[in-house]
Amino acid sequence: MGQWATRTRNWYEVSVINCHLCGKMLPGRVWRGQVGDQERDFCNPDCEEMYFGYWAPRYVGRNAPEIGDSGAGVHGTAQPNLLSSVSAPGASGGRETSGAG
Amino acid sequence: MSADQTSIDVVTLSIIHNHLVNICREMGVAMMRTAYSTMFNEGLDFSCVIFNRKGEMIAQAEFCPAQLGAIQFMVGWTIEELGIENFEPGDVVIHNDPYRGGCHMPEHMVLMPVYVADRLWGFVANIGHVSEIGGMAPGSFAATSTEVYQEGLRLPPVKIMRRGEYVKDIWRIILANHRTPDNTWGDFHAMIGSLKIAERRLLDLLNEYGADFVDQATKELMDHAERWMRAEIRQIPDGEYTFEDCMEDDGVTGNPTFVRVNIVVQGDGILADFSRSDPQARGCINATYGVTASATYNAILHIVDNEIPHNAGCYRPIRIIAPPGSCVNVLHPGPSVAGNTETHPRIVDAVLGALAQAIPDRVAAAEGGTSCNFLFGGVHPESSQYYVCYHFEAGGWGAASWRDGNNAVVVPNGNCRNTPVEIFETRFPYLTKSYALVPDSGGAGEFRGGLGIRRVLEVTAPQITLSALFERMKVKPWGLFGGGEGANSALLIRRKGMPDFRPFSDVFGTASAAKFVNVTLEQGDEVLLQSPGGGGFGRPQDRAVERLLRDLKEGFVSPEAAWTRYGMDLSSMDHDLQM
Repeated sequence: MGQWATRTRNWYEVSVINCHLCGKMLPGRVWRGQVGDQERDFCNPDCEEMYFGYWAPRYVGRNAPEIGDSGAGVHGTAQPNLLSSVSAPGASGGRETSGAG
Repeated sequence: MSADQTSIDVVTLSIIHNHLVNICREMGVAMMRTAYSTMFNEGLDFSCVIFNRKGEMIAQAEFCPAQLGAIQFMVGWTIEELGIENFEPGDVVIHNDPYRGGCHMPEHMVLMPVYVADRLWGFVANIGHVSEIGGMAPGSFAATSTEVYQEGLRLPPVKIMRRGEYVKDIWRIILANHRTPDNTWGDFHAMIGSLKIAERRLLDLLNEYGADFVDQATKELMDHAERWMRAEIRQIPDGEYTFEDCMEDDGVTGNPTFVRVNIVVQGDGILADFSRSDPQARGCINATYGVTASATYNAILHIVDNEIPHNAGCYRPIRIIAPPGSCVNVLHPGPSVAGNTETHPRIVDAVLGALAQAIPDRVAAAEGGTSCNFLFGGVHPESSQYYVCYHFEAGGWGAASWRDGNNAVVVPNGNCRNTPVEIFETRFPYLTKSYALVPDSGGAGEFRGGLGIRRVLEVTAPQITLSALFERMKVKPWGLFGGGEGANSALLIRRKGMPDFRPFSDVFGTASAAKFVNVTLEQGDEVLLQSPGGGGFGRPQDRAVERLLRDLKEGFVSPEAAWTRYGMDLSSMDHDLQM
């Protein structure tokens, strides 16, 4: 279970961190969770939940499945209820990126 | 909205909602009437919005979808980075950093806090495409850029006004790095002026109803918008729907870059997962997170009730995954200037293409998908003043199950106007030799794709420096359910004395015919710009005869195409239609 944390920024910093799930950039307040043995930053608990419930089972440690041709049919895979709780845009949280200016 | 879900009566909520939207509209009128550049006063390439104290968007008007999604992230970032305690009455903050929520570098956001009796109530903001911000090409669309530093002056959130006074050092840095500082000066003042108008109108509203009451009303309006959006999403069958589309080249490597989306609909929520998209390109066709979010919202707003209030609430049921370092979430120092104009519509089309499998009666075929960015600058022979212009073209939109595509309308992320020929020729040294719809450019279908345009310009100045950034020169806009593809775009040059129009790559040796910077045109040269058509919907042979006859009469479809594409034999028709 993660917790809220505040990423301190010095006034001269130009680097940006991104949510480990959704990629949204996060200026300060983050939801810090644990992925394996590493701390990872998310926007909020919803992103952490979706990371483990939706994203990791699909993309971590396996080849991405074929998406098929353009206009391919419906994939009827049953999914856990992932989208019922969402946060308004602007909630912060991230995935550190390289390249400070 | 139902009365039992709100504590404020629905009539009052509607009045407050419309009042806020009208404030945004009035901001736009002020911009249009006071800005210096044609981007603002003719093209209307700006958006005006109102935010609450938490940085939630509470009102917008009918401006640019490209900006209306991203501005939420730009404002949210600005408030958090600067700290809400560091705002004061009369402050104006400016910000165009693409990695901090922006769309692309030319898009500048200005933001002003609004105080009621010394208490910060909210913010008013304006985001607009500043037509020249430095960088390697006049007009700041560096089609061959490989890093952000070639695209122009990047501003993190900084104050340009502090307690109502100019922060002169910031202004001087900005004006020294833009090629047309007079335009920048005028346009920035137009943006700031629109903020001040919004402040006055907002204070009138807050004084009339009470600041706390309006606070509560906007909260209920956001919740109402969320409930309405969720109700719309519930009508989409649950499931996963995938689609891919591509940017045909990045201006540097010549390789295509694919946008791939997995749309997950579950109950009353939607997830747009772009995880399988290509890594970020070396050239400037990368989208920022702000662009990808804007495009996703844009696509979904196309298929839901258009009466839903567009505030932060309506976006709550929509989640987006855009991996950093992919072409849909560029990381520093990757360039991104084309992402806002070219990749945004591709993302829109990918989302709609995926949803076509679920709700075919609500989506459209691919639209032209490029702004045909045409940027030029030089010294005007009549005024001896340096000028720069960012010109874009309208194209055909995709057809849907109930209508043909729009002819000659700016891309769906733009909602901008074209510049009238008279204004164009007054401001810039070109003569418009021709300007017309292109027959047969719309994809054939039961419902026809919209037509693109063709414009021929003759250079009337001794020299013009030209850059361009086009898409859809190789890959055609796709049709749906048997509909045909729209026509490609084109950009050709006929040098003075030459008999034929030829690609710029042939004449100037540019690596790409569609993306290049800083070629020099001379007096008498002619340029042909052609925008793409939209894709068709449904089988052409199912097109109603009356519609096809009207197409023939209007010149939208040629008699030859009526036969070859639609199977209509004109030999027994009226003689006039057989020409």
